[in-house]
Parts: sequence; C-alpha cells; structure tokens
Amino acid sequence: MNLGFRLQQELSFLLKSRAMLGALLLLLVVSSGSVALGLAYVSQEREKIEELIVLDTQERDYKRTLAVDYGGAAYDAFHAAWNAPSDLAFAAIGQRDLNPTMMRVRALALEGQIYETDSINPELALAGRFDFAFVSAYLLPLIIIFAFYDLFASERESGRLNLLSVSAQNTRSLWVPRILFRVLGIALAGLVPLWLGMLSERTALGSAIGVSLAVLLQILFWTVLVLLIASRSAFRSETAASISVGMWVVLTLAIPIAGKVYIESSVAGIKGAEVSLVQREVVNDAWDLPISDTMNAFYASHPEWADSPPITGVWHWKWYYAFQQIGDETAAELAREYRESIVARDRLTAAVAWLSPAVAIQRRLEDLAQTNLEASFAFEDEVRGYHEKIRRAYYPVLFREIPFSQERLAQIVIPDFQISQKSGEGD
Amino acid sequence: MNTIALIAGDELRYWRRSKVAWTVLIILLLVSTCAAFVSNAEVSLRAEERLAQQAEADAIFQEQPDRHPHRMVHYGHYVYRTASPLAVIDSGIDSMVGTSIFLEGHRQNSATFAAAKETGLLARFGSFSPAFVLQSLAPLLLILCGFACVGREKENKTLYQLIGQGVSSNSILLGKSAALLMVALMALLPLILLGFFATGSDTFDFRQSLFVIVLGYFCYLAFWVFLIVSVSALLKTSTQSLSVLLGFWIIAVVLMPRLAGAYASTSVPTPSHIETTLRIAEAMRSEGDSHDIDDSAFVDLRTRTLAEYGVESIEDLPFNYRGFVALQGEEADTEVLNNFAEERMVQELEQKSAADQFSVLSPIVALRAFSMTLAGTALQDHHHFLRAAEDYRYNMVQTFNRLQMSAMTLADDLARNSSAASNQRTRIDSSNWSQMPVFELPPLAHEQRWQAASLAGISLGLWLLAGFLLLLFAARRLRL
Repeated sequence: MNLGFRLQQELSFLLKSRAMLGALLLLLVVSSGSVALGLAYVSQEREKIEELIVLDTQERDYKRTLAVDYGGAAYDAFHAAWNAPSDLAFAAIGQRDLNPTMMRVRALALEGQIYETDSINPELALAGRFDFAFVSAYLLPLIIIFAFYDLFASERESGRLNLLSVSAQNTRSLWVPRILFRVLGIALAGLVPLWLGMLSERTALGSAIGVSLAVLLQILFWTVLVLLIASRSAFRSETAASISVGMWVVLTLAIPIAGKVYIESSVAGIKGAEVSLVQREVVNDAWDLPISDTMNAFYASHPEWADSPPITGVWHWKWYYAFQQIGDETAAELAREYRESIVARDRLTAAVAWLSPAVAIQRRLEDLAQTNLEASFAFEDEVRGYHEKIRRAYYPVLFREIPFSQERLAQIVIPDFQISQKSGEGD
Repeated sequence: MNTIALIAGDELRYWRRSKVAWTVLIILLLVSTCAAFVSNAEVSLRAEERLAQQAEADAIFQEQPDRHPHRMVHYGHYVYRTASPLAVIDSGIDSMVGTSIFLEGHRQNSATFAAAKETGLLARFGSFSPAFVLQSLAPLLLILCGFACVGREKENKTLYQLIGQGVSSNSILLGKSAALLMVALMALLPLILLGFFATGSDTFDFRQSLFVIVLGYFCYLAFWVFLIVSVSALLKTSTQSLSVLLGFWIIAVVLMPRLAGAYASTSVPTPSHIETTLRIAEAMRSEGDSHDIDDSAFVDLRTRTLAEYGVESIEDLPFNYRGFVALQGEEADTEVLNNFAEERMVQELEQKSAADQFSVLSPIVALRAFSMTLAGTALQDHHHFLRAAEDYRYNMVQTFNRLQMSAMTLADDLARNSSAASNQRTRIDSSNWSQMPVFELPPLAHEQRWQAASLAGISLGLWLLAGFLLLLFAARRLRL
C-alpha cells in the first residue's frame, strides 16, 4: 500500500464517519460564531468610542462657554480617555468588560475618578464570554477527545484491529494518516474562521502567527494526552472516554477554580474601596484645616508654585486644587499596594497556567490581544499621565492668579487623549 | 413497583463492582461536599469583610466634625451590599457586581470594586459552589455513570431475558432511572444541608425558597437521568450513547449559557456608562446649578417662592433660600438621574429575558435563572440594592439640604467664604451626622423573587416532562 492510497482511503473514512464530521461541523460553526460575535463586540466598542469623543467634546465646549473663572472651568472640564480594542481583541475580549476602556477625567483628585468602571450586565457577564479564546480553551479539547477516544478501541472492539495490523506494512502507516487527517480537520475547522476574522481586522502578522501557534499547541497537547489514554489496550473505549473527559474536567474546571480559591485566600487584603476612602478623607479634611497647612504641604512637594501670592480669604481655587493633589499623593501608597495585590494575584494565575492548558491559552491569547491585566494597567498609566497634563495646563493661570478672560481660557488647550506607546509603534 | 426496586438495586450493585462507575460516584459526592464547605467559608468571609467595611464607613461618617451641611453632601457616604443568606448555595452575580457605592449629592455613582475584577482571569472559570457543581458537573458525572445502563444489558443479551421473564420495559427503564436518581439525590444533599444551616427562623422565607430551589435542581437532574436512560435504551451501542450524551452535554451546558449571553448583549445593546453620564449632563443643562441661587434656571422658582410667602426679597424668607434652592435642585436632578437609572435597569432586564429565551434550548439556562433568582443573588437583587442605595442617598442629601435651610441665615451662608465669623456660624453640630440612620438592605420581597422565577420554573417542569415522555417512548421502542 502506498502512502497516497492510504491518505485517500483515510480521507474517505473521515468523510464517511458521521460522528466525526458532526463534531468538526460543530467546531466550525461555534468557532465562526465566536469570531462573528467577537467582531460585532469590537465594532460596537469602536462605535461607542467614536460617539464618546463627539459627545465629550460637545459637553466640554458647552461648559467652557459658561466659565467665569479658571478654577470653575477646570472643575467642569472632563476629558475623555479611551483604550481602543486591538486588532486581535475580537478573539480574546478578556478583561476588557470589567476593566474600564473609556473614562473621563478632570483636574480633581484622580483616585476618586480612576476606579469608575463601565456598567456591565452582571448576569450576562457571569455566563462568560463567547469568544474565540473560550472556544480554544473549552470546546477544542472536547472535540479532540471526541475524535480520538475510541481511535484504537473501536477497531479492537469490532475485531478489525488484528486484520488491519496484518494488512498494513507497519502500524505507523496504519495510524499516522488517520491521526493526521483528524488533527488537520480539527485545526482547520477551528482556525479558518479565526483567520478570516484576522483578515477583516488586518491583524498584525506577528499576532496572527502567535495565536495560530498557541491554538496548534493546544491541539497537540490534547491529542497526545487523549492518544496516550486511548492507546492503553486495557481500556475499553468507554473507559478511555470517561478518563479523557475526567482529565478535561480537572484541567479546565477543577484546577482553575481551585487556583481561584487559593489565590483569593492567599492574597487577601485587597481593599480597593479603601483607596478612594483615604483620598476622600484627605480631600475633605483639608476643608477643616488652616489653608496655610495645605498650601505649605503643597508648595513643599511642588516648589515651582511656591512663589504664588498668599491666600488671604477663606477660599481660593488654587487651595482647592492643592488639596485635591495632596489627596492623590496621600492615597498614592495605598493605590500602589492595591495594584500590587492585583499583580500578585496575576502572578499566581500565571503559575496556575502551568497546570491548566485552558488557563494558559486564555492568558496567551489575552496577552497577544492586549486585553489582559497588564494592558489595562498600561491604559491606567496612560490615563494618569494624561490627567497630570490636564492639571499642569490649569496650574499656571491658577497659581499665577491671572485675571479671567475667555480669550486667555481659550489658550489653554489640552490635546486629545492619545496612547503614547501605540503611536510610537506606528512610527 | 417491586420490580422497579429490584432493577434499581441490581444497577446499584453493578456500579459497586464496576471501577469506573464507582470512582465517578465517589468523585461526585466528594466534589459536591467540598463545594459546600468552600462556598460556605468564602461567602461568610466576604460577608464579614463587608460588614466590617460598612461599620468602618459608618464610624468615619459619624465622627465628622461640625461642618456646613452642604460640605457633608459632597463628603458623602459609602454603602456596602450585603449578600443574601442563600448566596452560600448559589453566589450568582455576587462576584460580578461592585460591592460598594459612594453616595454624594448631585450624582449617582456606580457600584465599584467587583470581586471578579480583583481576581482577574480565573474569576471567569466559575465558582466552586454547590450550584456550579450540580448545574455543570453533576450531569456529566451522571452520564459517565449511566450511559451504558441499558446498552450494557443489550450487549450482554440480558435485556431480552428480562423482557422474556415478563418484566415490562417501563419497569426496566424506571428501575434504571431510580438508581441514577438516588445518586443525584445524594449529590443534592450537601446543598440541602448547607442551605438549611444558612437560613434560620429570621430568614424563614429563604428557607421556603430553599425548598423550591431543591425542587428545581431535582427536576433538572431527573431530566438528565431520563435522558441518559432513554438514549442508552434507544441507541444500538453504549459507545454511541456516550458520544450522543457527551455531545448534548457540551452543547447544552458548555455552549448554550455563553451563547445566550452573547446573543442577549448583541441583540439588546446598552450604552456605555460614559455615554449615559454625558447624556445625563446634557439633560441636566436645563436644570441649572443649584449651588448658584442666581442661576437663570431658578428665576421662576424665586418668583413663585416670594409670592407664596408674600415677601419682597429672598432675605425676608423664613428660611435660608440657598438651602431651599439646593433642596429643589436635588429633587429635579434626582428625577433626571432616576429616569436614566430606571431605563438602564429596564435594558438589563430586557437583556436577561433575551438570554432566558435559551431556556427552550437548554435546561441549564432555565435552572441558572431559577436558582439565582430564588437564592436572591440575581440581577433583580442587584437592582434592588441600587434602588435602596439611591433612596438612602436622596434622603441623606435632602436631610442636609433641609438643615442648610433651617440652621443658618442666608447672609451668613453667602458670606461663609469671605468672613471667618460667618464661616463658623454656618457649621452645624456634628451630632447631626451621628444621628443619620445607618444603611440597611432588607432582601427583596419573597413574592417578587418567586414571581420572577416562575417562568424559569415552568420551563424546568417542561424539560422534566419532555425527559419523561422520551423515557416512555424509549420503553415502547424497547418492546418492539
């Protein structure tokens, strides 16, 4: 028997096996569905961002026309910041739903503003996202189990195994084409919809290769695992199926959930609400402190404004903005701890990924799609930088006590938000 | 009846001998017991944390010094969500929604710091609760246990002996079902015990809900049992049965809930939080700034009020007009805010019912809704928290605005930023803050939960009926 004939024969076997074709069709449909829904999601997000920019500018321009002093103008001037979905975000929506992707900040204390999240429907979020990352983490292994659990046992149980072994030149030429065809079918049914999605999104070649490799690795891992189980001649096909499905439950459900329970109990003390509480206390206590206390503290850390004329009354905008900034500076340490505790949890999650291929592939895809924790912190940092720019734009007129005029106000121009890193990549 | 029991006993004895079935059984019981312990520990820890945080926030609030009441309006207050007693069996949306809301004047903040956000990626893999185990894992383990229950007898040719001895095919299938149902009941036991201990005489309506929840889970598991036995009877080989049952499990349990969510969020799109904020700002332009009594939006109000009290100027009014404007402004603002908030909740409920339509395609979608709703951890309970927090916010702010009206003169209030003496006179006694009632969140009314769960309950009943009819059909086919 030559190889060409064997391949042809196996292809016709594959096409005749209704169960296998059904499984491949299911994978194809689900994979296509996840890609289509992912594409719809990112295009909705982009629309929302476009809309945000328009509405935000309108609102700011309107508020400026009402301004009667610089402090009030800054108080009313929110500036939009957004984290546009990447060219691969459709495949792994990741943490984008729970972490903010759009926000509006103003020159007041940032710690009171930066933890606002988008409103999600919690009941829908609970079920989990139907994106390609889900398909590759959950469904793909199940299809592989389905394809291979009775590869050997079915022939053995039907009594054909010996006959086949005798007629084939060697056992390798008997099984290798069959395995290859099934793997190829699974890979194509899973990946072709993704490739089409990436074409329409013009995904960078690097990410496209990265995500395809991750999926192939996942297929390889599960194929080897299931074949190892199925090739044990002591196992009937049902036993092989039960053990494979058991492995799936352990690797895809039990380990991640146990990891979650462990992580939540070992890195306790996440007190996000405390950060904003501290910031609020500092900001509000300032009202009851002598103005000079706040100003001295502010000038100590910001000597560039120390020559500003002293405040004589019981109220001044520059005092107001000074204690806002002090509020941020006081909460900074706590905010850092808050972030570090989340990063510590993420580091433990990375350890769990070594035990669970489902976690590993989700992390890899979210990393490539820039929808992971790191990306959301990077965005947060961008917003912090932007907020600093907004503050600095208003400080000269406030601390130099320049008389108010709409003309001078018009000279305070804050450029639109831009992610520095991304524009750097484009150059 | 006797034959059914005999067949069931026979099946149980077979499992005892078969290593795979026995292992599966033990795993199922172990997992569902562990889930009860872990879930209980997690939920009570979270509840304690929130109680402690609420107590801290209350203490800080009450300790505030003498202040201008409008300062307290901006100082605001934090309220925390308390979970329902049955969150131990089904934590539902608890980890997905923010645990605290900052309440202040002129705006409605959203609930922030959701647990899932702080846990990261792993939060999406489900929670180790009795609900998760029974909804997702139990059907799978029942399949592994029972997929060959009739097929095996066919392959060993013992089935036709039984029928030949005059055992009816109905009895055979019911007997097999009874054996599997016993396993299902054992898996349910930890949930029942945990729910029973978590509820007491003070939460009696939750104990009643528990009873109905258990009934729902029983319907769900009984459906799976009937399905497994029927498929095993209908198909030629056990391997075929296993493939079909696993395929159904993948589609119904793994795919459908997520597909339902994706369908709902795409078919009923909701505006982003920021878009809503901006639309609110736009709608509020005409409301005027209630900090500024000279705002043109309040010209009408001034004329009306002066006429009503028969005085010439705002200084002659028997109260501080500035406080009055704040009171009126907050009322008008709140109306706009509430309209948007209610609109948002309606949209979310629409999304939920769009997702719940998938109950027709998968029983787990029906059971999830049923279980969460009755356990008091569903979307409507979150809305209930948001409404309660808003009520509290509004009452708090208006209490302070009324104090501003009555406790100081307009002249002092206007001069508070220029004269130290006026500033001192506009600060009111701190006992006013400590007298504020603390935030309490009574659970959603019993009837409301039952009513919201009724549709899901009916679909669970229909799934059970469908399973039973399938069993009868399979029994008929077996006779032929």
